[in-house]
Amino acid sequence: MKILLLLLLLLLAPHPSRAAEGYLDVTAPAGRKLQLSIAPATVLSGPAAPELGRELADLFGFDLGLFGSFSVAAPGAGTAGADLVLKTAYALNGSALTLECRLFDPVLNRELAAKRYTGGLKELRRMGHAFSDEVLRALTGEKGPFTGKIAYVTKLSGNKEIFVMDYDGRNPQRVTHNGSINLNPEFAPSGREIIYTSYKKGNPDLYRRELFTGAEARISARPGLNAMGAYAPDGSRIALVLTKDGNSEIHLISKEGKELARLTRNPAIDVSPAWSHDGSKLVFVSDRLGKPQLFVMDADGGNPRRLTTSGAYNVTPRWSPKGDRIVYARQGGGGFQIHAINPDGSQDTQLTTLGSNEHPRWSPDGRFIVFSSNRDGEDAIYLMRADGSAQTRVSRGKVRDSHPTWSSAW
Amino acid sequence: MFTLSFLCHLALFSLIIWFQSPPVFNPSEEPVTYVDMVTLPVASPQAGTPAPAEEQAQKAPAAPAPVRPAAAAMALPAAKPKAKLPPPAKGKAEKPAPVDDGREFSERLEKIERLAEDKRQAAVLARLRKGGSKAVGMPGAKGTEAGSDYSSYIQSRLKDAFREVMASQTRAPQVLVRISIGPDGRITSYRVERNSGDPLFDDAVARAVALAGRSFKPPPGGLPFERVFRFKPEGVVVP
Repeated sequence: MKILLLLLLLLLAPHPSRAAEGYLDVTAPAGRKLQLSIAPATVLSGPAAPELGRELADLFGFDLGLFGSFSVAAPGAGTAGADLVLKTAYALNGSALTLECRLFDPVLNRELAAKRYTGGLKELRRMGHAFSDEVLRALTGEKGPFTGKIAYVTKLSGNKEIFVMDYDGRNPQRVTHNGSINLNPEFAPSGREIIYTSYKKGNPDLYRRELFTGAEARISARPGLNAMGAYAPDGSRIALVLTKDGNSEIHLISKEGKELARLTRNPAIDVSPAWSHDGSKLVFVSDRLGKPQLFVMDADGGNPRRLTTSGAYNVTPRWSPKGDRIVYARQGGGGFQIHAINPDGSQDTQLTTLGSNEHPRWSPDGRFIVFSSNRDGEDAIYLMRADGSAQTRVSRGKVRDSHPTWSSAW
Repeated sequence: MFTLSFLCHLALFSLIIWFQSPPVFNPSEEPVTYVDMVTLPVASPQAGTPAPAEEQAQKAPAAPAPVRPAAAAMALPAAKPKAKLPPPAKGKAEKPAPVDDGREFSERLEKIERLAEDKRQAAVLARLRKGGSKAVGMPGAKGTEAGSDYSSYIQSRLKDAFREVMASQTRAPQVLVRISIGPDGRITSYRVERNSGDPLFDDAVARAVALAGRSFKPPPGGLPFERVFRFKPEGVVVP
């Protein structure tokens, strides 16, 4: 009995080492940003080109500043107290450029990323964006979207033509040159092809174009509208809007143009299909309940259900690459504003307030949204973070730019 | 009868004189001092391992350093008149005339402080002669390590470093880290027991530990130290 009592007491007695096992909290204010210092560019060999270093510093400052977790110090500000130091060195040999970029952590005394790029001097910005992508990969485990391109519709030549530019608005390049109306560019998942609707042969037909070779094919020329094409995540199928049966319906075709299925059968107008990240669902716009609202259906057209329950006119949805949010434009107050909503209909959040903002599209990593806005007068292309912060104009011309879409890395 | 009348008149007269004379102002007021309470890291965790009571008794006068009114840094009333003095005119070498009231006040204040300190030291000596208090880490303690609070010292150093390098891209990340410190104060082991899923935050924690670990004092008693710390953004409630 005594032994039992002793054992019981031993069990109940507080264990000294267990008492010391609890953890202690270490906290710090959450708003702090990583202090990134950009060291002045150094010369590996060949002539010095200070303007090259300045352009790179500006580029890194824009890319990484847009990301939102960095406070970027300009070159010459010193590296004392920096969490991270970005170092660049270059070698110029005529028009040939070798660029070395390194990301260094002075606290942990380790190199986080190091890349050497070789190419022409005109590729300088592409090399810089590529290293910005690597910086995000090194720090977050997920590559940045800065080498992606933005395709958009511009009236630079007077007609609505499709152009492609760097994500930051630099280096615009013409894609179509047919003097007609060209609309709704959409990148293939590879980023190397686009589909778009053009009136160049009279009817609004759907075209597929390889950007590097310029090869083009008319993949849907059915009577009526062939528009708002959207690649499935696997790149093999395209959901698009056809009016060949008299009503606007969503159909599924192969990337060669062969019709696979009709996804909607409703006397209402069904438009703007967009795939979920896993290709299992589509979000689209329908006025089957009276006003244009967002609906979600399975990839075979089954199980349609209403997504948005507020707002009288909701259009142009796009599912985020991670599948967690759907961005769209809602009409109200004389214009459109961009909203984001969870796929289950919760957390509908307005992201823009200035001017009229339309055609939102995600960056390939889902961190940013590109859209068009008339807040400064004519429609122009803008970027913002997924939470609506850091809204930044990237259009550099004064003509009307609209319908942007962001490709994966080239 | 005459005597009684004389006494009554004398009493009345005394009362009249007493009422006419004003009460004397008693200047022996307690000085008002202002003390800012600041949480500072434990500067010397070995403070919890004092010498035996006998040694303490010999060193007693220096042991419990009473909190003096922090000299000029504190906002003592005596310092105020100096601040209000007009700046000396250019070219004049002589000092402004000292203010007599302020000097008297300072002298009285010093006298009171001396008396108070003497009383405190006498009380400490008396306690030590009785065998010391039982509180660990206090004057006269027996020298056990429990009162040194080395964990709080490390927590404080980590917190200071974490403020310098904090970064995150998610709303409520948290990281559990087991830190081992050798007898020489160096980190011997850093093990992440649970990461946050936010690489920016995980790296910030690693930076904070590395930064703080450069200046850890050795654990008390020459023994190794190990503890789990939870890093999280300030004000975030983690279930």
